[in-house]
Amino acid sequence: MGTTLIPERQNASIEAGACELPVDDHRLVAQVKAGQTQHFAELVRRYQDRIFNTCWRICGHLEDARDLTQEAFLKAYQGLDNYRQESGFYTWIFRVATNLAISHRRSAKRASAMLDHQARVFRNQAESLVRKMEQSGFDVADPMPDAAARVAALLHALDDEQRAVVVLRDIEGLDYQQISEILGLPAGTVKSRLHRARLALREAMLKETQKAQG
Amino acid sequence: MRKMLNQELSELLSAYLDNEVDDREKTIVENALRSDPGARKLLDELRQTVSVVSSLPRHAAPPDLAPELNARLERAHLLVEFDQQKAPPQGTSSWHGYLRAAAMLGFVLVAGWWFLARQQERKSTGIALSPASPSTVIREATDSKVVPAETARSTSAPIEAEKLLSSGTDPVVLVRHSFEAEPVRIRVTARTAGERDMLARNFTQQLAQANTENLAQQKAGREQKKAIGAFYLEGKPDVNFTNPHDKQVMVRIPRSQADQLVEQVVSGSTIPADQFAFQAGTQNVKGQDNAKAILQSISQNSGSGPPTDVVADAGVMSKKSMSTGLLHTLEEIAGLQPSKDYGSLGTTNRVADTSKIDSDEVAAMKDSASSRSAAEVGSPAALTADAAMKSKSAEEAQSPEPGSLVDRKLEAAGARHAEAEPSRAPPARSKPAASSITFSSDAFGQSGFITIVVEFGLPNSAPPKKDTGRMRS
Repeated sequence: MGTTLIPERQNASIEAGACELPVDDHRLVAQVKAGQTQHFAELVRRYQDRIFNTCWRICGHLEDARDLTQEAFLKAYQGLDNYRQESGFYTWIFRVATNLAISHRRSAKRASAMLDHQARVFRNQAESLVRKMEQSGFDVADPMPDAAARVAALLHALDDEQRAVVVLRDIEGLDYQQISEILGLPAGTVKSRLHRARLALREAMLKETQKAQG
Repeated sequence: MRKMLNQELSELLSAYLDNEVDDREKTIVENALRSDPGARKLLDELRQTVSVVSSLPRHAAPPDLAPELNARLERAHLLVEFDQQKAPPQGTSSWHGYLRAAAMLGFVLVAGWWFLARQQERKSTGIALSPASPSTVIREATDSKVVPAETARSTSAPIEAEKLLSSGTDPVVLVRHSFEAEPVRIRVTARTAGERDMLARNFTQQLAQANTENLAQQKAGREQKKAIGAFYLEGKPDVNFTNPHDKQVMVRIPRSQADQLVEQVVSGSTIPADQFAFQAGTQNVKGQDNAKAILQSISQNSGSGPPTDVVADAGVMSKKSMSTGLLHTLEEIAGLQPSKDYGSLGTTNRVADTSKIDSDEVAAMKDSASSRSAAEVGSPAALTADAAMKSKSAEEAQSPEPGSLVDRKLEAAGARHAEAEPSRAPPARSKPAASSITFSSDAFGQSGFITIVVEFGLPNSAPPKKDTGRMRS
């Protein structure tokens, strides 16, 4: 057992936006299915950054995103027999990854439910402390001074379905048809869900701004 | 033109922003933008929102992601290859399909030649012809991934296994195929990698200490019975785990000590031994809670906080409940003190006095026992994995939140048991069965040890699929 399926990455690069030609992906998939498993490495190389970023933005944790990315490619590899070439490989891997990330987030939510009470207590205590400090004249620093972090937090606060469409459209740049295939939704649902998500984000950002302005 | 509803126009603005409108819709939007300041304002706000979100920093995949994925894919290959070797090929190629078809049509010579050829191939690769034969090597691949049976049966098995682990043998494969048993598996799900590492390290250190003490007692000539022996074999990072992010610790307990533990627990109970059902497997929430409580203590002692989830999956059956013994073993290894902290979850987790069970729990068990149908108690045959699986529905009221990770694992384990025991007819019952998931004599194998694999993993890393095929017929 020594065949290296995937060579080590030599250069870390962020591939934003550009997709490989679908025909090329199909050929690679066909080769992998025919037993030339080393070609799967190229598919991983092409999409791991985008898949990782998608998983990260959906689930909210870098470490979890890494695991989810691996899981997505592993599932894709193991399920290649079920892959239909009507849609591009990248659409398929995005679907696998998105579903995994959403499921993971839901599981994490349930798993942390038992800690919610304690978290609420801590939060209430923290907020109470902040209020007391403010009343005493202390200038309580914005706990999240970084704008990107604030926006990320607002994104993370969206419900899972809305967050997924925003990530796929506004971050990954996929079109409505692709998102429809990935999420298994009608195009009309994608459109309305995306719009509601943007409105929700807009509202949240306005509130943040108003709070910051005092 | 019909006046557009605000919501429809609003949605069209988003789609217009994304250039996802047809000509008709585009005309509608542009007309609205010319005449409606509100529409222009909303479009600007949407554009700003999209701009902010799309400007969020991107993160490249970690450079070690691909190598780790490679390791996982290699492991997947390893298990697939082994599974295929265990059973005759199922028409995976047209050639095999032709040969089987030829055999069915009565081409005896061809089929016989094929059969003999396979036998010869298996002999040369060391794959068992007759898994039940104790002298048969389960598997001896050229890359030495598996402990030969004679090694597994020797008293130096833990040491040999340690060497093999160091060389890269997967502990799950090692246990399943070498010690002729399914490992008892406990999975601890940590919230973060740091927590996972701390839990695994703490657990390993405690096992090492117990192991040292046990060896010292053996050297002193004391009976093994008086010590909880645990030979731990720590999984190595470069071993092909199902999930390379998991940390595994394999614990092997001499059979004599395991039985002793069971006897201590059962003898102190007013419940008859053959009806005793402490369910620490996947079918019993109380057992899970007990396991969770122990592991929470371990993590609290290490200061890392409680794990988010625990799944205890014993996977094999016996006429006695070994689950309690398992938890006692872990408890003692962890150096826990008798505590009422677990009182609400189950109170058999006592180190100092393993012969008694909290009266509340006894009462609860007696209530449970008294509600069982006559056909379900008294006989080891009644205590089957299948019965346990069937009783799940009756216990759902006690089960964790539906759809939870634990619940899904309950279903998965139950399904696996159902697959492994297809011939068992579900007992006719109207009440929960006195099921137990314990260790069978098979689990001890020839080596006299029982093996537990404790996995420390992350939420999304699923435990390996259990191989329901047994090495022994």
